[in-house]
Amino acid sequence: MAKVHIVNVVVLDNPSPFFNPFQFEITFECVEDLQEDLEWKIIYVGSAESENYDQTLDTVYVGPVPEGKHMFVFQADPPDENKIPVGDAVGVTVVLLTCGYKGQEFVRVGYYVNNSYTDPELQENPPDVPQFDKLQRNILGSQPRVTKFKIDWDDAKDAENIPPSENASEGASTSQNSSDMKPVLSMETSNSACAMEVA
Amino acid sequence: GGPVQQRWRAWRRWWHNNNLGSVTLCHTCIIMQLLKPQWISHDGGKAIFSVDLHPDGSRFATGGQGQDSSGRVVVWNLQPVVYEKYEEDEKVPKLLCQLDQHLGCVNTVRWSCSGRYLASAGDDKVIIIWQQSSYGGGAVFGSNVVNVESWRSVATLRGHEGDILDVAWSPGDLWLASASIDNNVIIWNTSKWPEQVRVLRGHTGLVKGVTWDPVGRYLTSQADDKSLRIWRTTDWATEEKIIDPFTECGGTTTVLRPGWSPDGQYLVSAHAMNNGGPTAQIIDRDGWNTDKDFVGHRKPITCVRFNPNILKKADPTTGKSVQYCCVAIGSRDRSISIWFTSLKRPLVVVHDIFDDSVLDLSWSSCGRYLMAVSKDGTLAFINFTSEEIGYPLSEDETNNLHMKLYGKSARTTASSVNPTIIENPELLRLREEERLRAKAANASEQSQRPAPPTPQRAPINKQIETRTADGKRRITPMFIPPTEGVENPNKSYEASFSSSHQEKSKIVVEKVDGVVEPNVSVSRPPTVFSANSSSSPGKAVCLPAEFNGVPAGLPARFSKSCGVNSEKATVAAADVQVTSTAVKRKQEDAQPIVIKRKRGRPPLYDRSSTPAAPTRAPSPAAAPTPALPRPPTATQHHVEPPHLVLPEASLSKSARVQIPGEVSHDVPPPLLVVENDYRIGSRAGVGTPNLHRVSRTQLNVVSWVVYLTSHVTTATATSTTAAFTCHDKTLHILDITTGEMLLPPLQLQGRASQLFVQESTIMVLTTDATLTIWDFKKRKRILSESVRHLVEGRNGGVKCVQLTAEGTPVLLLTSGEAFTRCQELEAWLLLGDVASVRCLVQPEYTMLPLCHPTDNCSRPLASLLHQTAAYCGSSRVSRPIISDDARQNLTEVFINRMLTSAQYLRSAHDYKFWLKRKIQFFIKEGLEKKLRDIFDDLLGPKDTTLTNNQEGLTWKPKIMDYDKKALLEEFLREILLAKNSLQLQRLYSEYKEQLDTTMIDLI
Repeated sequence: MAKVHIVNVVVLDNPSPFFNPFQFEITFECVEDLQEDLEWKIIYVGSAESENYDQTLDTVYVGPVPEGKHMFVFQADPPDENKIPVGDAVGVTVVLLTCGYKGQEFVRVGYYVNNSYTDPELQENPPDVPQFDKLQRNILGSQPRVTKFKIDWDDAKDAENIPPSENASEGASTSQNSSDMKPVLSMETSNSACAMEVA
Repeated sequence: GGPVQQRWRAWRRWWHNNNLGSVTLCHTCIIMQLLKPQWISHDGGKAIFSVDLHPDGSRFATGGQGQDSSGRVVVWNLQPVVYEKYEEDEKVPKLLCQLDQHLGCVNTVRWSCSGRYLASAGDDKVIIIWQQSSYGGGAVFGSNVVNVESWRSVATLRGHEGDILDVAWSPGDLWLASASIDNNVIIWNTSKWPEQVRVLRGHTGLVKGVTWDPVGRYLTSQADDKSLRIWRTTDWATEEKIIDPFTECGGTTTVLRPGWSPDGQYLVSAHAMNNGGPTAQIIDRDGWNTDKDFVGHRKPITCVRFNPNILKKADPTTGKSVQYCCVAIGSRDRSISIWFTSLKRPLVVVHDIFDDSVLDLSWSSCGRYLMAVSKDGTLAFINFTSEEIGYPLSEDETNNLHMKLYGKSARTTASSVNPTIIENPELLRLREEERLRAKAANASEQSQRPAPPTPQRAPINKQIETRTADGKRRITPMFIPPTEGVENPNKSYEASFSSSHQEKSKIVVEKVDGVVEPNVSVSRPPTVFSANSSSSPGKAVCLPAEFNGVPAGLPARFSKSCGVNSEKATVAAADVQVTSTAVKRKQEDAQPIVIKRKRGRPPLYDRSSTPAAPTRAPSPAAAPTPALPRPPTATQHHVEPPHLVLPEASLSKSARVQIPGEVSHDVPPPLLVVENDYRIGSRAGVGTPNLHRVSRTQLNVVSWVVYLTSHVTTATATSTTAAFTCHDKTLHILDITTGEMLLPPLQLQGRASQLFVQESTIMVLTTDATLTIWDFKKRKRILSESVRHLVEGRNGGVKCVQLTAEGTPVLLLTSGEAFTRCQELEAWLLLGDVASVRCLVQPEYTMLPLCHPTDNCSRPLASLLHQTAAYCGSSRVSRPIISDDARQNLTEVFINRMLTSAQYLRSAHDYKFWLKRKIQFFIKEGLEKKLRDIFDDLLGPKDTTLTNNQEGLTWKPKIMDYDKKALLEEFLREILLAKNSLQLQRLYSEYKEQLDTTMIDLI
């Protein structure tokens, strides 16, 4: 069971100019005192084409984390525009907020981000060289995509990573259910004291 | 708007043939309401494995699959199911709480008899005990669900090594039983989570169901090994193993949930076979006879659930009142049948209500509602009238019946904590005495001990930011205190929806200067991510128009792509910061011992007392002695020469060491302050050499100062001496009060990695792993030896070096091992056991005693091992799968090693502690023979008059300062406290008698 759950994330200062810092107000709950700090990251996806253009905007340690509910604002600088491929500057991309414990990522929250010109002129005729200072960033804060990962919270070696043994019988039972019902066992062959009504 | 609720009523006619003379319920016609509320679903149709109605009839819980492979528990409001007007009223919430904490499918949900707790368990091998709290509620992040109520986990029970398929609370909520595919049933102590009362071993196949008899005398488990076992709760032994009805059964059901009738007379199994047809076997409590069964289902029976009430109704022909029980049976044939024990035919059979196997059934406590869930992800609700189902006996009537039949009832079970049959009347008295004694001892212990320091709570009105050595921020978040007990029904849930705002954050950020070390273990191997992830639905979400034209590759980024670690990708992005991280990792791989952290600069002082890091609460895991330096980390950026096996110690720019001595509450303790790169005045010219300063300070008054030209790497202080080492391989020893040098600087043969001072003994571990001990008053070297062989080849470095009270050197490694040097053998001995063993053995017997700093002298073993990480870790680690025999064996060996170590250290306290653990272990495992061996030794030769007896000669009346007979007397009481088997009670009586005889002889 995960020891930390994200209760809520509010995207602040949104929409905002491209060069404004990112601000996420994160509320999370912890079910028991953590031995170590959490490591939160904001990753900006520079291009849908390749992870090579991902930029880690900031990494912060959060701790100590006793049992209970906590809140903090995670602010990070905007991405380095020089590392964004020209073709990907305008349009939809993704920003990721991740959290890890003991070097293992256990939750990832993704948001769609739309970078667009506010000036109708530029919208009509976007310049060949993107003008980042004229871009507006809009994060789709109402639709976070949450992905959780099973990690080893304690120092146990690998117990949680052992795949659960398959219960082979389950598959069998499912497939059989769709088959035709067999005739009901007749009363005469049964020495049972109780018998279901033959419909 | 909203989904159309499909509601339908089924009027079915059933009749029965009254030829066997049983009571006719209703002459020709059964009127019942059957409906399937479509709004009850898990994530739009995922399988629901379990259902349970709350005893107070207000709500019910379902358990099953959640998003992807995760599990889900949902608490629902019952009212909208029962009453159509509430179903249509939008103000009445339907879903009360959705709990997604389980990482695997939830196979069972069960409310405690009191209704206070909910237990859920599933494929993630844990049981979570939930309790309602007013703290929280609100939207479930990343989904459209709003929780009206908040249920919080109060305990997480780990112990099973496989998926858990069923749980059951005993009558009176004394115990919780869980059934798992690891072939075991575990009995948990509900008053002391997560204590296990017993692990019931015996099944040789997956255990798929458990149920208690209504008075709590027996527990039943049904398994895939074609057997059903009945266990006695008095000694947890098998009362009966029933095989005959199951020999033809194949393991084709997901669950096998048996049921026990509320009058206790009948146990009904899940899947059994009779003449080639599936049945539910009726097992008579009287002699466990199996001559009756319920027949008619076309496929194996998955679940049996009795109406919780004993029912009665008047026979319409005779007018006489008849008592009976009512049972519902669910099957893989997708039908449910409902039977009365007074009728030979089912009351009703409901066919084809599901598209897949029935997996669980639950009755309301009023007895008129029945719920069934199926693998097809739907729930069916049946509403009977009292005329149909009968009128429940009152609680008093039921208890009276139980008392009459069994001499006990659920009520008496609940009131008596110990249901064991006491054979020996003296035991009863002794046990009471023992209870009082334990209570008194507990009370006095609590009053003697100073209260543990209250952990410094995080700030509640701001977040605090500090910087770590590598420039990253460390944030102490704002703590949101619980509002326990404050009900706020008008709370607005909208506010916590995931959203975005134009305004900026209102959280106050307090930036604190100074460098802190993040509390992370960097030395871990690269992460192995489980492929088993769960993600929120990416489906059917309409994006706003401006987000149209999402590039195809983007949605995949919400989860991690296979094989490509995002970190790896960021390295290629030529981000300077990230690249340096990668380089650091590489170095670690190559030389794991040499460099633990790049530029990690741990402050030497107690963190909680310093303004630089006011945010750090004392770590619950380890409370280091204030005078000891923290584990060192390296400062080197260059590649280490190969002969160095340990990192050089390092101090941050400024560090303080508390000087031990008498503690006064008015004046803060004096500090030894180290300030590296100390700036004299404001004009430090280019040519000025860097100066470093060591001083003694109390209340900002500096009593002495020493300036140095080399960086101070370690510093420590005792009540008489200050010692510190410098980067130039010098060791300085000063008088703490005057600052006077006791010796000229001592030139070490390498840079210092660890430093320890106790009275006039000084101990230095250098980077080439040479340990040297001097007595600086006598000007004598005590030891100089390489400890390279202890350090090399192990994961991590040296945590600290120290001397025991007897002056024996001890070396503690970060990997958890503790070594002590035996002077006579001129060798190092491993104390306790290697850390890797600990995660294999049963934690309840290997936990160290609680250790208080004042115990250091009396319990050297415990205090030493407490300082090594592996022993301080949580007992709740999930353990690798090994066989029970191996685990039992390892546990015994572990305890034996502790005993030997305690004996070596001549620590009587430790010895007794581990001997007691051993006895507790043997008692729990029921190893009578081994207990006898220990007791025989403690008791000594039977006839003390025969002094020429060999045994009599060699036997010593004492062991480690303890009188053996006194020990025996004490340990015998453990049997009483263990509240279990008859067999061990007899052992108690036997030895107690002998002990008393020898005592009399002595007088």
